[in-house]
Order: sequence, then structure tokens, then C-alpha cells
Amino acid sequence: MINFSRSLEPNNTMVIPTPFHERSFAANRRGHWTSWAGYTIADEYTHADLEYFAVRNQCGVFDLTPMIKYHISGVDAEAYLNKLFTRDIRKIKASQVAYVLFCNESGYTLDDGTLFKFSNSEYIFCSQDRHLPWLLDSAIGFDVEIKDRTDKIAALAVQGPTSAAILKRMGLDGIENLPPFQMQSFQYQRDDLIVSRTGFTGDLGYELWIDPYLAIKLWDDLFTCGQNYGIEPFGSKALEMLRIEAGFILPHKDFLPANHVIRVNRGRTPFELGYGRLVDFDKGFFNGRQALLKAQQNGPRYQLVGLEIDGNKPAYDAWIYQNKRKNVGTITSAMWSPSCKTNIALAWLDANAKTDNLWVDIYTNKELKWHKNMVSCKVVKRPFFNPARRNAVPALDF
Amino acid sequence: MNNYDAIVIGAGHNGLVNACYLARADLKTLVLERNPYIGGASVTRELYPGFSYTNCSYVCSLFRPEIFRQLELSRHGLQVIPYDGGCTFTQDGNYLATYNDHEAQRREFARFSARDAEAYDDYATDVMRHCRFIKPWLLRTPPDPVSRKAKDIKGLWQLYKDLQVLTEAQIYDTLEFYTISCGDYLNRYFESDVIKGHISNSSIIGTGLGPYSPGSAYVLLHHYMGEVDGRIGSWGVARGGMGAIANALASSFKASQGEIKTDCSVENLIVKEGKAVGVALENGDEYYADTIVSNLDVKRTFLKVVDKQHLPQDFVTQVQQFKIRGSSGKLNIALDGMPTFPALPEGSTAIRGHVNIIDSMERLERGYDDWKNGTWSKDPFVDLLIPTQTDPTMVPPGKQMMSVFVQYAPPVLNTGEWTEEDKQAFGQTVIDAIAQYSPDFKDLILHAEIRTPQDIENEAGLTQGNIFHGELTLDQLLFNRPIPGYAQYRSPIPGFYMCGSSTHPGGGVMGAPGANAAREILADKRMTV
Amino acid sequence: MSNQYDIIIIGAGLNGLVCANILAKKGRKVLVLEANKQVGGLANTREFASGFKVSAGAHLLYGLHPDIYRLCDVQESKIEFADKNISTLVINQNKEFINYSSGEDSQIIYSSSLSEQQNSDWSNFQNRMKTFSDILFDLANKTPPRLKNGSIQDYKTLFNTGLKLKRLDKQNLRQFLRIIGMNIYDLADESFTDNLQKAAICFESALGTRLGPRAPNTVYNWLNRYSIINRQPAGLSVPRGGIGSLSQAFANAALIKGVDISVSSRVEKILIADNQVKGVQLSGGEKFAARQVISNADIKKTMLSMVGPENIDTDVVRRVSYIPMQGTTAKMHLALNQLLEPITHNVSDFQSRIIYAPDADFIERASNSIKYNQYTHEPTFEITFPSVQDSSLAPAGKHVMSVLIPYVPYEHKEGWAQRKERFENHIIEQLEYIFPGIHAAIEHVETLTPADIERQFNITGGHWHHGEIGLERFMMLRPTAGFAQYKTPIDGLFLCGADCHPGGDLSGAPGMNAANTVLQSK
Repeated sequence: MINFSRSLEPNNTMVIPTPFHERSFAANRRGHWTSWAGYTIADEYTHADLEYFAVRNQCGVFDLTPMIKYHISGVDAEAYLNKLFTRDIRKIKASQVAYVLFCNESGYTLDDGTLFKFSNSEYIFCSQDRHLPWLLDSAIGFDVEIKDRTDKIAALAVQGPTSAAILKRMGLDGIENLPPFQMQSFQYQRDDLIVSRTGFTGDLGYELWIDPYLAIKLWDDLFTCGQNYGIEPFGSKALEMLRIEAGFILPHKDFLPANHVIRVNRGRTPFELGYGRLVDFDKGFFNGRQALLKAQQNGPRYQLVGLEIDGNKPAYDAWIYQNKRKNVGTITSAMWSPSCKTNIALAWLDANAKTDNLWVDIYTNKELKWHKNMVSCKVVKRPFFNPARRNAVPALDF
Repeated sequence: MNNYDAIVIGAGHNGLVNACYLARADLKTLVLERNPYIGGASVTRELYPGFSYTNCSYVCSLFRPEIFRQLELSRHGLQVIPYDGGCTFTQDGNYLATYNDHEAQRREFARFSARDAEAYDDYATDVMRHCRFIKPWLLRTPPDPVSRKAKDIKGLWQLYKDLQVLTEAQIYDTLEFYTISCGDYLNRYFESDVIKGHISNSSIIGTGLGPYSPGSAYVLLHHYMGEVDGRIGSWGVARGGMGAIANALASSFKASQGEIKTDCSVENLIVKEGKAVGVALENGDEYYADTIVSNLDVKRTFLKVVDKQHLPQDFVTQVQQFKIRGSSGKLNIALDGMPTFPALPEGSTAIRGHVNIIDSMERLERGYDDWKNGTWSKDPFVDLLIPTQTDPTMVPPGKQMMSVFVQYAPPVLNTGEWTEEDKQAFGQTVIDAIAQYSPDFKDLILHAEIRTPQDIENEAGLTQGNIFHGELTLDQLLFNRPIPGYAQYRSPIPGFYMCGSSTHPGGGVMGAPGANAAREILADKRMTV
Repeated sequence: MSNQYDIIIIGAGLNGLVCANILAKKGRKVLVLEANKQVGGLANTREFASGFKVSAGAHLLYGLHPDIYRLCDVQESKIEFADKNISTLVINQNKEFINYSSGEDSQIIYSSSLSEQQNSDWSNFQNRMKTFSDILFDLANKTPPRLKNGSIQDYKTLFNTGLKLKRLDKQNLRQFLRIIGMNIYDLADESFTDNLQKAAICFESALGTRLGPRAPNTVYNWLNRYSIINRQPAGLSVPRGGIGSLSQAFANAALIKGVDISVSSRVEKILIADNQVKGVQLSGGEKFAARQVISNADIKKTMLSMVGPENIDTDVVRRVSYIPMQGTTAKMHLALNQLLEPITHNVSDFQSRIIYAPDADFIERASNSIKYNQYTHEPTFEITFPSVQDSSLAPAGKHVMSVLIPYVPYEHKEGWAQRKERFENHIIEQLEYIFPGIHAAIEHVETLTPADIERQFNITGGHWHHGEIGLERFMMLRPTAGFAQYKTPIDGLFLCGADCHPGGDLSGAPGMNAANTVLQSK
């Protein structure tokens, strides 16, 4: 007889609450939720626009827990990561956080992410997508251990002009001296609270990483200390606005991870993504090196650019034309930027397309009637919004 | 009046699809069916009071949406309902469920292997890449590689072009994929035996191959090519049972002035001056048309219906050599209520889809060894489906109907033909196997129809009971299917055509062979639909 | 000995030696490094019991590509053959038998019960298949062409192959396109009525692989093997002194051309800088420099151990590790104190290569257990008695028996440490049924499981072809995509082992083709 006792687990189909759920649930005045990597995340707490301004003007808190986190340790960790990523990992110092890309053998980008270095033998890699098989297979021949720690680490993004002040009030002494892309460990309730000066908003901001059992306590402390500093939770809709303004690219939206495209040449090289500076050919072998050397020689096929578009209608999914005639690209992300008061977008242009005389055709629905508007646009530098406080050290109080 | 423009032998779904297209081209078309009911293997019958038995084919997803649309099947009452779920029960009392939601599925796999859970995305992408290559070919006539006709050269050029769209690495991947075994293929992605067992079962359904046989990876595609409402890879059932497909086709056919005669077993093809001119029935009736189309499998068509004297000897030899291997049986069970499956949590949707009790490729392969040896698998693979959960119209309120596809079962046992005792023992093996996972199952059985490959041959007319009208191996695909040189639906006899699953692209309730054959027939008549 | 060479070849297997000869002939300064004490790899002769010698790897010569003697200046006439045109005797448990010649125009020589018709079935089959196998033979000495982004040479090869196919008459082309993906069981069934004939064909296709005759793609395996046997002027043969003396002949020819051969020199690392080969390093630390290194070692050992995953893309690591390289065939050597009772009451029995395979289904059943990492309890055998042809291999009056046992797993489910002795006893028990009295005649036994072959001959998995062979690993797919042209992702590093096109069977063709590739590259 088969013993069925071991399978009596509950249905595994529910979206999982994060360790902050009790608080985010209470804070959610709208009841708008979304599933991010299978976790429940608020879409909006009040209204995306208001949440957006809370981040740009005061301080916003975003539940970052579903971010995929791989813990990588072992004596070969540095050598391993140097094979995996296009950057020279040896140049990254302990307590530094690095933006990294990794490619397959065709030189197409599999994903981007942030690498947190604790020591030469211990790192955490955070990404949007899951990559365990790739990480494990890349580890063949290296003495490293790779563990998925996604549900073992709770995380909050604390972003906005008053974020440093709030964290300081919470007792994180010296936080204002933490430079961008650095992290620091603080004692918190007899445990470690890791704070990194990173974020997806392009503003002054921090990300807080902690053991899930302290999640609620952390949330409460933050909101207590932030009470007089305008602290507000913000959801994924506001985040999307913030990240476009900051000019950050998002996998599955602005580029497709190379292992998930059906037509393989729809992958993009780091050069095409505009991250050629993150490819280091001098460091020795790494995944995609041979193909990228060739790609560098041949030049990119496409260029990812930021656009400023006339008018105020966001150019969702629009085509870009040269001289109003020749199709030379497509928009991937578009929005009206409330901070720049400009219509902005991220877009793919053919590599050889000239960057003057560009036009976007925007379809707008005015009371059930569609209008086609050919409007002028120009290529601009990203980020679209880049306040001085973002990188100031020490961080300004507000 | 016994004169028609076209006669289709066999009212299976492909015969009906074919007939529909012919009738729509204003040909006066007659369909002759041996059984008192239509549908062939797409059939629903009442074998126990109040219960509709979908007793042959039991799911549909491969049915081409193009055909659905062109024949206006919706207007003729056909509804295809997708279902969620499905699971594999493990021998240690656990289960692995299938979910439509990506994250739910990943977490489910992660209960068995965290790595595999994430590898599934890579696997699904790679399989989709192969699907994308093959899918347009389902509704194309295979080009003849030997011919110098413009259309064949065009077809071969198309094949070349399709390959050249791929990158060099993908071309090699493609060539490898069509020749490799499912076992080798899955081992690249997955480490968990349960997950591999769960996925591999679609590589063997209907074939005379095991998961370790080269060529079985390709059969996986037949599982992924399907779609319901544009959702690639999802499966559905026809409301009212699979017979609803045949009924809708018949209705569409009749709306185009087509005529169907049941209880008409065709004995002979009438050939005059080397041309097909009509058919003679067992009861002596004769019907005439200058276009005759056979929906029967190629062996039945050319070894039984057509007199050898009308065929080249070499052709007959090749028909004899065509591999049709019966490998599956079927149990259709009327149940007094919903059986419980204690491995599943309360309210699980997993029971709505395919339920499978083989939790490793090794067990599946050992089942295949039994079959090679001339016995039914002692530890059988079953694809169990209770369609009445989503379609209660088929049974009295509160009752359930269970369809159990069983593999492997040989067409002939090593002890000789199937006897009644063998058949009962076979049924008992299957019922016992299921009862291991559902303690109350046996007590709920009101009636069980047991169908050996021999029964399926006798009733549905599928040689050896093979659901695909012939093995889906490389030597019998594309321009080799069914016979090299005769892969374009034409036979050696002018005016005589084939439209069954023996022809490209093969079996499954897909309708493509019927539609493709109609296109070729009409081209010969210089007509289009 | 200076440490600077034009080319270093890792491994002195037959392919490595052929490669060395061809390159040295073109003026290259070549060093061959062999890990073992003697050259030859699986083509060797060694003493396995006091006074008893045996060809420890391959025990018959049937696959050497005919161009190779000329290219390597090894005169075939100078190789002394102990026996040529060895026939094959297929037997069953009822002592029924057929005996057929191998090589060109194979024919049934004698049999216990074949009819006239059945005799001609055999010849007809061979004739029919010759047309198809010739297509494969013509490809054996070609570098597999890339199917996209290829060179002019690649398109030439493709075009010529296409032309050859086109020249077949319609009927034959259709047949070829049909049978190439088929299983040998069905083809044998279509072609013969006699069980032993079917078994013979099935056995030949299965040799060296894990596939049973009912597995699709096995017709390709048969054609591939047949294509080369069919071109042997000497048919099935054994050189005097065993297969090892063939390797010795090629080694000697290489030495004459100035090749340095260094045995007991195990390469540990291939030295690479900026994706370009610089040389090799031995396990003792000694380094040798060369701009080109050709590895006769298998691809897994070469890429994953000598080059190392740190120097290659993860995609490549994956592709290489996916190659099924687990050995499938065991070897048993028996020292006998006397010759056994003949099976067919024909004294020439022991001159033949003996196949024990009663029928195709028997072979299929024997193939079942390897799928589950077990050995079969009803094995089939290929048996030779080398000392019958070559008395120098055993003390006077005594004999050597060399047995190939197909379908033996590389790893046993319970571990070979537990099972090897039982396996050995079981095989001897089975042999006793065929050769009554053998048990009493045995003086010494040596059994090589695939795991032993791996250890002793430095072949990952201990596989006869350095990895499974079949339609799914044919031409551009052999050993795996991206390596099929004897090149690797590392500039200056090449492969020349049996895992390359066209495969093993002591053909020397991978070595020959690799040499040509190296000569053409800058």
C-alpha cells in the first residue's frame, strides 16, 4: 500500500505573501495587487502618481523581496563570477555593489543584475529572472556553491530625498557617508541589516536586506521614524514610472533574455544595450567573449536609446520613422515624465539609423476615435531625470 | 442515383474534413461509413445507460484552428474547452501537478528539484523553437525530393529556406532533435526522475517506441504543437465528447449538400481502364464517382479495399512494409461518483487534467520492454482523464466518466491472439494500477469497457489499433509518409486518394491530412475551395 | 629533446599516429605524447596472463580507411597478417549456423539449413546496400560540411553529396531516404526469412553501441560499419602479433619521419593564452610548446579536463557534457589450456569470428538491461580465438579466447566493485552452454568492463567509439555541434579521436581528416 501521508501539503498554486504582507496589506488603500515572481506585491497603495511623487519628493518604500537572490560562495567564487559576467569581477571591492551583465556563447545578454560582494569567496547576485541551471552549469569545474536565497532574505527599497534622514533616525549611524553602489552592515535586533545605496528609481535611495523574521519590525521602525519625513509605501506601477525616468532597462520589456527568445537573433549584445563599458576583454576568458569580440568588430545591429518626444501623449508600442518614411525602430517603454515635464521613451533604433529627423507615430484614442499623430522626437542621454542628490556624498538630509 | 462527384470511404474526422472541403467546392460528395455511427475514432457512444463514452480519442488540441474556422464548426455546434491541471502520482505517495500558471508550475517542480523548476523554462523555449519550425508544415503537402516538378522544387526550396532562417547552431539542434531519444533530450534539462517521467509520457503516446528510443524526442512536439484559443501547448476536450467533433463536421458537410451513409462497408474499389470509378459495398450496392478518397489507414486501403492487380507489386510490398504498431489500449469506465485520490490536497485542480501513474522514464521504458516481449505492460502507463468534471453533460448528475488510455498493449500477444481472459486480465492490471492511488475507485465502477488493440482495430478499423495510422518515425514522416513517392495524397490509381492519418502530417485529431488531401484533389480538378 | 614543436598530438592511439604521420610527411615537427607505457590506445597487444597475449582493445581489423597506408607510407604488403578475409560464423543455441565472408561481396559460405533462395537473399541485400553505403564511404574521408556560414570547401562537399544522391535512380533515392532513419530489425525483417541472417545483420549494427536492433537509427549504424568493411581488400583480418603490431607499424613509420613519440607522458593541461593554444603541460609539470595541439583523447577529457571549463563557454560545456559517452561493451580474455570442441564439427570454426546471436529478438532482449545500468543475463557474444591464427600469442598447445560482450553498462546499478566477479562468472557460465567444457579449460580470465577500459585506456566512459554513434550524432553532429570539423572553440586546438566523424572501428579516418584540417588552417 502506498503511504500518502507525505504529500499532504496544501495546494501549491497560491500567490505567496511576502514577509511584509501583513503591513503592505494594511497599507493598501486600493486593493490592487500583482504577482511578481509568484509573490503578492501591491500594484498601487493609493494612486501611482501620488506614490511616484512621494519617492521624488519625500521617501517611498517598496517591497523588493521577490527579487531573485543567489548566494554564491567558495574559494573559486571570484574566478567563477569572472567567467560568468562580462565585467572584471576582480576590480570589485568587498562591500561594493556592481551592475553586471551576462551572456551566452552568441554574445546575447541573458540578463542583468546586481552583484553584492562580501568577500572574495562570498557574493549575492540579484536578478529579475531565474537562472539556476545556467549558474550551476557555469560552475562546472569551479569550487563554488550556489544557493537560491530568494525566500530567505526579505528586502525593502527605501527611496527618495528623505531616505537618508529616515535611516539615520532609525539609528543607522553614518549611513549618509555610504557612497552609491556600496553596502554596509548594521546591527539590528541582534541580527544583521544590510543596507546598500542602490535602487531602481534613479534617486537618492537605499535597499535594505534582512532576515524575514525581522521584516515586520523593520517596516514598523521605518514608518515610525519616517512619520515626519513623508514616508509612503509605493507599488509596482509607480516603480515602473521611476525606472523609466531613471533610464534603467527591464528584461522582457526593453530586451529579451537570450534563453527565452524563440527567434534566437532577437537576443541583444551588451554593446547594443549600451553597456559596452561593462565588457572587459582584458580579463581573460568569460562567457560570450569570442562572440563579443566579433560583435565588437562587426559593430552593433541596434542601439538602445532614450527619446524625448514632442507633445504629451506617451508613445506606447510605437514605431519610429526616419524622415517620416523609413521605419528605423520601435519604442519599448514610454511615459509622460512628471518630473521632467517631458514625453520620454526607451527605444530600439537600427544601428545605422541617423539620429536626426526622427518621428514617432502615436495613436491616440479620443472618445472612441483613433488619431494618428506623427510627432518629432530626438535622441537624448539617459537618465532622463538625474538629481544631484542621487550621488551626493554625504547624502543630503533632504 | 448512385452517381457522385466524390466518394469518401470512412467517416472518421479526416474523412469528414476532406468531404467538407470537397462539398464546399460544389462537388456532390458521399461519405460511406462501415459502422452504424460516424466519427471513426472521434466518437461518443452510449454503452451504459445515461453515460456517453468517448471511447477512442479523448482529447483535442491539435485540431487545426484554420479548419475549425473554414468549416464553420462553431456554427455547427462544436465547443472546445481547455482544461487546467494534470498530475503524475509517485510511488511514494506524492504527486507532481501541472498548472497553467508559470510560477505555480515552477514551485511545483521545485518540490522535486529547484534546478529543474528553472530549467523547465529553457526546455519550453527550446521545444517551442522546434515547434515553430515544423508547424507551418502541418498544412503543407510534403514535396517529393525525387521529383523535378516545379511545385516539388518549390517545396524543397521552402524547406531549405525554413532551415536557413535558423542560425547555424539551431540547424544542428533541429537535425539532432528529430533523431534523438526523449531520454537523452530530457536528461539535458532535468535531474529529477519524477519530472522526467512526467514530461516523457508525451514522447511515447501512440507509438511503438520507448522514451529511450531514438526519434522519440520528436514525438514530444506532437504534444506541444497543439493549441486551444491561441494558447500553445494547451489541451482541451470537446463539449459532449469527441463525437461532437464528428457531429459538427457532419453538420457542416450536410449544410454543403453532402450525403453520409452509415452501415455501408466498402468491400472493393471499382477500377476501370486503370482509373478509380466507384466502390462496391459488402451488401452488393455500388456507388460511382471519378474521385474516391480513402480515410482508412494505408494498409487497410491497399491490402483490403483495393485489389492487388490494380497496383504495382513494388507498391504493395511497401504498403506491407509500412509500420503500423498497435501499442495502446483503452478503458472507459462509468463511475458512480468522483473517486478520491488521497495524494492530492483537498480541492486540487490537478485531477481535472491528465493523470499519470508512471513516475520515471525507467518504468515507462520497462513497460515498453514488456510490449516488445508480446505482453501488456505489467506496470502500465495510463493517461487517465475524467472529462465529466468539466463537461457534466455526458453523464447523469453526480456520476463521472473516466477515460483511461493505456500503454503498452501489443496487437498480438506472445501467446497468440487476445482471448476474453487476456482482455479481462489486461483490464484488471489497469484497474489495480489505478486503485493503488485511489482506494475507493474500484467500488465506484458501474461499468468498464475494455478495449485491446484488437478491439480498436475491429471497431474503429485502425490497423493494429494504432491511433496514428502508422508509426511516427523518421522513415515514415513527411515525404516518406505513408509510402515514398506517394506522400502527396495520391495513390498509384488515378482518381483514388488517401486522406487518413497514415498520410502527412500523421495522427492526432488534427484534421490536417483531410484538409491537405482535399487541396490536392481539388488541384487535380483545377479547382480551389 | 627540445620542448618546442609545430604540433603536439595528445595520445598515441591509431588516429593520433595516423595524424602524426600525415603531418610529419608535410614537414611539420610533431611530438606525440602518450599517457600509457605503450602506443596504440585501444589498438594494442598485451600479455594478460603469463605467456598469453591478446589484442586488449579491438581484436579484429576491418575498418582501416584504404587511403591511410599510402598517406602514412605504411606498406600494407609489409604488414604481416596472421589471417585475412576471416569469415563470420553466427550460431544459435541449437547449434544451427551460418558462415559468411566479410569484405567486398559478402556471401554465405556454408550454413546448417539455408535454402538457395536464402543464400541469394544475403547477396542481394549486400548488393542493394552497397549503393547506399558507398555514399557514406565517400563521406568518410571528408570534413563534415557546415550547413550555414560554410566555406567553399563545405559547399563543395555538400554539392557533391547532393549530386551523388541525385545520381541514384529514383527508386534508390527514395529507399535511401526511407531506410536511413529506420531500425535494422525491420530492415532485416523486410529482407530475410532466416533468423540467423537477421540476427547477423542486427548484431553488426548493434556492435559498440547501446542500441538494440529495434531502435530507430540503427540502419545508419549498420551502413556506416558496412561502408568501410566493404572496402577492405583484406576483409576482416588480424596482423601477426595482434592489433598492437599495426599500431607499432604506424609508430615506426612516424619515427622514421622524425616524429618524437613520448610514452608515459600524461598531458594534464593544454596551455592557452587569449584563446590560442600555446602548448601542453604534463602531469609531472613538464611543458611543451606548440601553436597547434591535436587531441586524440576524447572530447570530454580534452575540453573539460585538459582545457578546462574556465576557458570555454558554458554553452559549450553543456554540449560536451551532453554527449553520451558511457561505454556499452565489455571485453573478456581467456587463457585456455586446450582448444574447445568445434561447434559445427568443422575444424575451421575457430578461425572464424564467432557471433552468438540466435535471433534478432534475442539481441533486442539483451539490449534491455543496459538501459537500467544492469548487464543482461542472456548475452550475445562476438568471439575470436586469436591464437588459432597466430600461435605466437599463446604457449604451445594452449589458446587465447577473446570475447566481446555487448550491452554491458559503464556503471552498474550496484557498482562494479560489487558485481564484477558475479558478472565474470555469469559470462563464463553462458559460454559453457556454447562451448561445453570451457570451464575446465580456463587457466586465467581477464575481464574489462567499460569502467576498466576507461581507466586503462584513458577514454571517458570506456566507449568503443569515444561516445555513442548513430544518426543523431552523424557528420556535423559528431562529436557535437561546433566541433564537427575537427576544430574546437580554442584556436589551434583540434580533435582527431574516434568521437569525431566518421567514428571508431580503427578506421584512422578521424586522424586523417584532422591532419588535413590542420594542414589547411593557418
